[in-house]
Amino acid sequence: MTQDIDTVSSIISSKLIQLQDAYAQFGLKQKVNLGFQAGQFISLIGLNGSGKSSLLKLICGLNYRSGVLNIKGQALRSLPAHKRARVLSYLPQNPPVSTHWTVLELIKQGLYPHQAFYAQDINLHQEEQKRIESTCKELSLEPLLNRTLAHLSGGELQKALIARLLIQDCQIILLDEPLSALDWPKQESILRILKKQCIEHNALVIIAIHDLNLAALYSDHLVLLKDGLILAQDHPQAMFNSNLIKTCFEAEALQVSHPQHDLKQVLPWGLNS
Amino acid sequence: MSTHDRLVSHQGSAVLWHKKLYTFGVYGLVISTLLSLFIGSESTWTENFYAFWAGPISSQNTAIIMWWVRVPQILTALCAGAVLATSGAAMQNLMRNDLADPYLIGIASGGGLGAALAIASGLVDLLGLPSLALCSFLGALCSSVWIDLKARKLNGQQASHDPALLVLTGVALNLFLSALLTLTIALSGERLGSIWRWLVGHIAVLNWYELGILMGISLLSLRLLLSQSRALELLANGPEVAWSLGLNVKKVRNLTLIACSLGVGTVVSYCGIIGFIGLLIPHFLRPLLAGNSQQLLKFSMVFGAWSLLLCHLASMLFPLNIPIGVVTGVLGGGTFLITLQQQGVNR
Repeated sequence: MTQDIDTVSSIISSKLIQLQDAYAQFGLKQKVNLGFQAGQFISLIGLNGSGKSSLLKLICGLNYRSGVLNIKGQALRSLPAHKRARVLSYLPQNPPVSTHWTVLELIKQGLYPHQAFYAQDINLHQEEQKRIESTCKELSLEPLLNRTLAHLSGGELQKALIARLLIQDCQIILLDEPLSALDWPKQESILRILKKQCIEHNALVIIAIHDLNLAALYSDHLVLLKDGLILAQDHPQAMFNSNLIKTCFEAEALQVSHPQHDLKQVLPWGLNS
Repeated sequence: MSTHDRLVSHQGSAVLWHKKLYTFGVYGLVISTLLSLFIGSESTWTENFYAFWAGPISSQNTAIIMWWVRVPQILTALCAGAVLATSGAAMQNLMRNDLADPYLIGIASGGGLGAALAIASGLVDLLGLPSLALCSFLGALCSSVWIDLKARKLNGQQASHDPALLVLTGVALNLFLSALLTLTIALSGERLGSIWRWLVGHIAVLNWYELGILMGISLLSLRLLLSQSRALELLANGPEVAWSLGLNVKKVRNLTLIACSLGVGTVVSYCGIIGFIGLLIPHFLRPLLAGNSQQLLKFSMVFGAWSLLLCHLASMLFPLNIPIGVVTGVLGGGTFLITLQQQGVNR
């Protein structure tokens, strides 16, 4: 008996995030039972208003009503704020910012959970400085560092926000439609950077995304949502092979095979279909 | 230029420029204080200088004026300016609205109503002066909590709502409370007879006991607000991002509301309702402090104290000795209108 409990708890604790019978305050109509492991890249897929954002908020604790919501085997709600912020970071869709901030200032905010509460000075440690430098290089933000946010385009602002998220240096990274304001090469480069976090730093990335093709190319798992219900959770390949995509989006998809990967992709129909 | 150079040079230049600005503010503050100490219509500055060194116990006429009128007035103006500007900046970050000023959104009139009720009901005569500060604090707290709830509702409904909406709500609250305040004054009869100066805001001549209360509470409120300046900067990201950055949003919000109400309520109970300082000072400082926004509260404190002292100086130099609320009202109202117009053009 005790052995059973031990194995059960070890299974639970092997998951980085564990949701059991978790109820949300809004947006989701069912109890959520999900578990995600470190190193995974998860995409939440669904129509507008299907509950992607609500599920993301539930996972990070902002939309939590009842049930089990554990991070590394510990209840998320019981963690003190700054400790939680060292494990879990979250970027909502179109978050408000002060337009008077410079890009560097915005990025430096990501250091907040790692600093002592009295650290009000703006001089950075060498280590912090290096981290900011490498992240800015990766996102090619260097020329923008001194600009105020009022003078950025939507895509540049989005990159700066993602840089802040990466500077926060958490194992769990949640993003709500981070690619919506970006041009397509930048979309892929952001996904590559996030995927790198999964592979090199064993991070868990959960992302709400509209682009099925990109989601299929980069994710280990797709979670399909419809009308506040979780339809399915599976590998992209399995997902495309079944009828689930059609049910989820209420539309027939024109599927083709990717020339380089063993994957299906979706093409637009065009006029003469 | 490498990223490293950029980082270093950016930080260096920002630090240097902001240090200069801060030094400028502090020097300005000191010089204005000296000016308002020693310049006056009744006596020459040498007389004033000797009066200052004669000390508060001296029976000399100029010394009495110096130590029982001038010095208290200057200290009152400094406290009031620092508190109003700092709480203005704090409120603006908290509500994510650059127009949220304690005067404009009704916190000051809430404090005023509390103070007036305390005087009119005879509570102050019964329990002494600290009860006045307590009542105005409670009045300010009630209105600030109410307006904060409204702001959160507005912010929750739309990601980017019209900032004017919150201000309109605040103005409505302000009008309502002001009407109640007038009603209290009208009903109280003689007890609040000479209240009109207090209603427009003026730098009162306080005795040292009152001044002690005002300064003590102001310093406490400023200390609390300044300790939250980093947190308040993060809060401008909205509660969700602030939460995910590890901020205890509830705690910061409660602390800020209490500290603002404490400071503004006390200032209002002694100086009346002085408008626009909390709006103007952060408004001008914000673009200047790009790259170093967490210092906004500190700078607001210095420049707020300085500017109210200048207003006090201006009102003293005026032959009729006009109330300071008129000076800030004229300057602030005008600037506010221009700003709104510019925003309209930008749209």
